[in-house]
Amino acid sequence: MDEILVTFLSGAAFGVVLFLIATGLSIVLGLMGIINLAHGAIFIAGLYVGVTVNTWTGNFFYAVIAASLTSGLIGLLLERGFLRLLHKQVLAQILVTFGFVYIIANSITWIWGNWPKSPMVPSLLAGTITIGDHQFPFYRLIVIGAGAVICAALWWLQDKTKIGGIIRAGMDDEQMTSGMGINLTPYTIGAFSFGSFLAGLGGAIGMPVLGSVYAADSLEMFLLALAVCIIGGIGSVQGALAGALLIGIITSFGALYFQELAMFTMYLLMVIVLVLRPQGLLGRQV
Amino acid sequence: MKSKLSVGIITLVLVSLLVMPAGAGCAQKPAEEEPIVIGMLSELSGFLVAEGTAAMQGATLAMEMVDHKVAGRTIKFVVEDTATDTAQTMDKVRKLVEGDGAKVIIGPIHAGCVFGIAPYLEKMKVPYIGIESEDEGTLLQYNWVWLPGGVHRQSTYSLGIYAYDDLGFRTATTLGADFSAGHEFIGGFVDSFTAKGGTVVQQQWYPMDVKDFTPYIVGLKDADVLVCSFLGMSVLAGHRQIKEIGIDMPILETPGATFLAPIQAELGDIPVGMRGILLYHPTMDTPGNKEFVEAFKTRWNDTPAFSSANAYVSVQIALQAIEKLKGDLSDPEALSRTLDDTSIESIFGHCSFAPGHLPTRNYYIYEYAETAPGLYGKQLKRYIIQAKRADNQLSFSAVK
Repeated sequence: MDEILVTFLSGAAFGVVLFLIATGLSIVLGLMGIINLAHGAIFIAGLYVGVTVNTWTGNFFYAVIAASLTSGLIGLLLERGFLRLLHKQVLAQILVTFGFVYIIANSITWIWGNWPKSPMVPSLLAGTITIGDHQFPFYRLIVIGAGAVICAALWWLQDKTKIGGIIRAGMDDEQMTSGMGINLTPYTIGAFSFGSFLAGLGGAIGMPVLGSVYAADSLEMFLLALAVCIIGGIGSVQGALAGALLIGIITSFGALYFQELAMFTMYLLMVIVLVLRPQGLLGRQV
Repeated sequence: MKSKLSVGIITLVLVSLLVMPAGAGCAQKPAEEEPIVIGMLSELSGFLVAEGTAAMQGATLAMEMVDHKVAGRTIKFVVEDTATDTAQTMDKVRKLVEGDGAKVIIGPIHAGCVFGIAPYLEKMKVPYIGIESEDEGTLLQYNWVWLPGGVHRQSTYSLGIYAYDDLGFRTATTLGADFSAGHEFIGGFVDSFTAKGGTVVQQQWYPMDVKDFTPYIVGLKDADVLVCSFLGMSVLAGHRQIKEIGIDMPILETPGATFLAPIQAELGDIPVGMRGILLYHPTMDTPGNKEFVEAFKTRWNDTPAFSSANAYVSVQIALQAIEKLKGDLSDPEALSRTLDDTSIESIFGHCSFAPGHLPTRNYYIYEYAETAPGLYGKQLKRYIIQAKRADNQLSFSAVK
């Protein structure tokens, strides 16, 4: 029983981290139709800055803020500097963001070297709780809690605020929204930057769950985030949460009970969802 | 019209007079004045960038130590980035062999990339000299492969002997990467451990891209020892999460990044007490190692990793063969035979090849114990493991 509980909590923690990383990608994809291949690289760049700030200051919260702001700033520069010039040119946007994967990853290597970095855990939140015969890191429970709070805040922002309403309207029908006199540009800029900011935040909080940060993982992190968007549905916080938790928990239990399939679990889930519900579990209709 | 034609003819004659002497000179340059090209395929980007870059540094240092000269010939050393990608590796090896005229290829490290280029190098009769241990399938199927690092199963064969004889373990549970290298690393331990009479109660395999080892750790069965094989940089997450979940089984580890200085800087004392197999450590008391470490620190401002040392020795092996052939590489079969005659007491100890390129080399048991502030690695034992071939399979034995 304790094995099941530890595995469930572990999967939930991993899922929450994926949710935080993927939400921004989902909103940007839904609102702007941009597949930002550099999303994973942006998130990792934020983490390296966060780890460095943590090393300098010894303060975890400064590190989280630094990571989030760095990722948000890189996202803003990418959008304002390049993507806005390629409006509606999907292939060009993909290629540009793909190029930035290598630019960012190589910049990280140039500044910090080739080696990965360990996660930062505040000493106050380090330690474990006992579940049966196992110890479980207390920090992972904090990650789940923090994720729940952030998710609730994003949900409220999306469903209960004017900003959220405009963004949802822009996702549903950009032309109609613009035709009603709403200038979507500031919202798209904000969504892109905020999405990157969230990725940095999620990564900084969730890094202990991921085990380490490594520049070479840039594309891999993007693929994980994309899987969340596909499974959960594009353009909604609820969808990202559903997709992320499903991936996290099913992957965890798959690793425990069906190791031969562990490599395929997430992709199997993606295929099933794409076949049965192409818009994702909670996505907007295609 | 006539004057234009005249001008054209005069111009043609003048240009011919200018070009002809240079062309005549080029056509007559003797082959022995041409530099010998040694090519290196290195993971300078992609997920093996750390090991690949370290290997490139070691190989470059080996070349610089001989001033790019051997047997009176100049050596041109050309390094190409494989990006840890098989398709790019194939492109680069063709460029090195057909474009640059490379006579020997050093690296890459990634087993999939090695397996990809092996048939091409066999067709072109260009030796591949490996850097780290590789899949034994490559050695068994292709004849132009030399592996100073041995094969994966060979590298962990001594771990099973050590676990049974020295530590008295009788049962083991294993956790390895679900990749050919992971299976072979664990396989070497299982072979020798079970041959001695030990029992492997469980074998778990994690996907190469796993981020969270918790489900695997939680699923570990009780045994006398946990044998781990963490490939690449998963070592950080693996050891950290094993400690977090509170596993108190002793740990033995297959060759990996745990004993590298930059990784130790991140891990700290988390895996203290763990023992593992190493092919090389900077503190080894082996011929030329102290000088190598000093030279490496001066050149690269860094401590050499095992891939640096292995690549350094791989280049030395190539240079030694060229020296024996007095710089004449016109006969690839002669080069192949000369490489088979390699017997070197190198910075990582003994390395030699038997016919069929079967490697015999040293392997070391190290303990993750602090020997200096922030530096972990205490040598406990040395083994010499020899590979033998029968019925298209490899077997291994410890040489006394």
